Amino acid sequence: MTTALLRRRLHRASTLGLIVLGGWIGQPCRAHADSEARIEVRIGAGRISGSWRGTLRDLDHALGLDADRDGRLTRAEWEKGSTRTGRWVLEHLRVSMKGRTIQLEPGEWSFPSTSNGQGARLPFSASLPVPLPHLVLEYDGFFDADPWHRGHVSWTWPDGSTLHVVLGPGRTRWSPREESGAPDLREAAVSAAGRPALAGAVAIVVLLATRAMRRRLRPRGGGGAAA
Amino acid sequence: VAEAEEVLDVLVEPEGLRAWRTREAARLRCRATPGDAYAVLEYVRLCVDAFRAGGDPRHLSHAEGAMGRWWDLESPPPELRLWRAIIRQGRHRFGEARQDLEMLVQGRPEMAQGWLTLSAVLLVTGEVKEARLRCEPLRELAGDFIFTVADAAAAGMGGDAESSRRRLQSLLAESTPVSPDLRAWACGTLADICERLGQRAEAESCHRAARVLAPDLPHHLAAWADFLLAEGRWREAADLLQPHRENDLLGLRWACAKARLGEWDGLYADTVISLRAGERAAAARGEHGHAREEAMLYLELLDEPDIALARALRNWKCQREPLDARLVVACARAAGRPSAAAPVLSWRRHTGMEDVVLDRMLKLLEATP
Repeated sequence: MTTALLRRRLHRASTLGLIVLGGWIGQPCRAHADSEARIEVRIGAGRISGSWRGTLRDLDHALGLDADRDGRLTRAEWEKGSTRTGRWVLEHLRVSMKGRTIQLEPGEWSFPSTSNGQGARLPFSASLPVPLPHLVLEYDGFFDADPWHRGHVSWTWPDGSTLHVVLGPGRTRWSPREESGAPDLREAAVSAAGRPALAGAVAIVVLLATRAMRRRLRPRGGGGAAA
Repeated sequence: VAEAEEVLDVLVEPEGLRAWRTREAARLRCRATPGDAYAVLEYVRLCVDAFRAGGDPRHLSHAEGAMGRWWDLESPPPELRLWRAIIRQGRHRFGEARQDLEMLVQGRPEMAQGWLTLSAVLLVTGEVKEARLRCEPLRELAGDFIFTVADAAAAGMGGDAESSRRRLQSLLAESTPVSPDLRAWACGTLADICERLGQRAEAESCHRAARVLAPDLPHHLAAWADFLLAEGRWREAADLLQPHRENDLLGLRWACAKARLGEWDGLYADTVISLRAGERAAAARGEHGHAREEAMLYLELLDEPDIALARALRNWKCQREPLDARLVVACARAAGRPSAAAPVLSWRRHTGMEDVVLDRMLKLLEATP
């Protein structure tokens, strides 16, 4: 397309805008809310779990779930694309530690009502090693098509303390421990020692450490005689 | 089979399907030919149309996203700069919109839309004289109808309401062939001027005419509802807005009418909860662009006059239409702080805006102990 032609077409389009916008000028209005996802993460005993909750409308905009494009998303259409949708969500929501991505396992979708449209919620979980090293959360869902989408993260440590952060195109990565002054994960793990799996893990660490210390303190070659 | 056909969500109402499919086709063209400014422009225009029709800000976000690299350019092509300004205006980023539009009309003074939108932005921000000055080029560029409405809107805010009313009446009496949207715009402008002049019957007939010409456009409905609420006609306002309460702008006014009627039913509670959630979500994002509606929410529905006043004053810093002035005064009175309305009084002296509704409210404010 030549520059002159492009210019003419652009000008024609903007002239159309003059007509269309006539009744709107000076009347900016707001309705509904901008797109958002609610991301809940809970760190438990040797486990990370949580959920992502967005709206069906936003998912359809990104993935075209309404296959026949009749404006109504049926359960059959949803089921057909639900695995792909879950994969898409977890591709855009990642938790890693020391550069290694933790493989989040998707659970069953549910459809809660939200104030921003019909919701879709995907639970996820994965095991975490103990003691816990640094964790990093990354989220970039929808940002390419919707720069106003935000991920509202709620992150709960094993001791029950919760942190909140809002992720957007300007900030897609969050390291809760480093940035928030949150409790040290290992301390938090100890505080949650009432939970069986973690208690077991902590007990093993303590046992190994005690044995090592005993070995170090034990006099070599019959210390009793030397004493 | 029945379960498979269960509808999980109605993404688009049947009446919006055609526009949705057109927009989706434009989006696909955008994706297929990244870098094609024409394809982007077409999609952006359709998104802005959708926002205008339904008020969902996600359409503005999609338009912004589609502009891609052009969005952040210091000097994008003029047509894209225009639409960037329009999107920014919709986002209440009036300063940025104005900057874009000033640059645009400087470089391309023949673009009527640039002058028209610039004038509208200046009017919204209360710069009435400047708004009127920017209308002048429209006389040549856009024709008599558009020039007259834009100029009368600005003049009507600047102490010249009566002559603006007469000009608009004559214009509407002529049989100029213009689109219903444009005629509705003229009717809405005339309704606002008549209301401020205290000519309620004429204001009402203009609101009704606007509604016939452009049925269900949110901003017309909101203006008509504001008129009914100011008149104390709660039942009519509630009935008018009942089918549109999903739209926050209209749901807020519907809830105000229901509260005045004392009808605090489940639907009312749901609406208030939803409005509050929207306000909280915006606050969590660090956005403060919709303080007008937030002030109304806190004043009328949550009985928090101090918070309402703070929001109304914050809104006043960027948005100065008659409704915003009335809101500051109403909040100042409710909070028992008459002196907080001083910026409105000062602005009014400066612009000379006539408004009998505001006059009445100011008298009540003066009587506040």
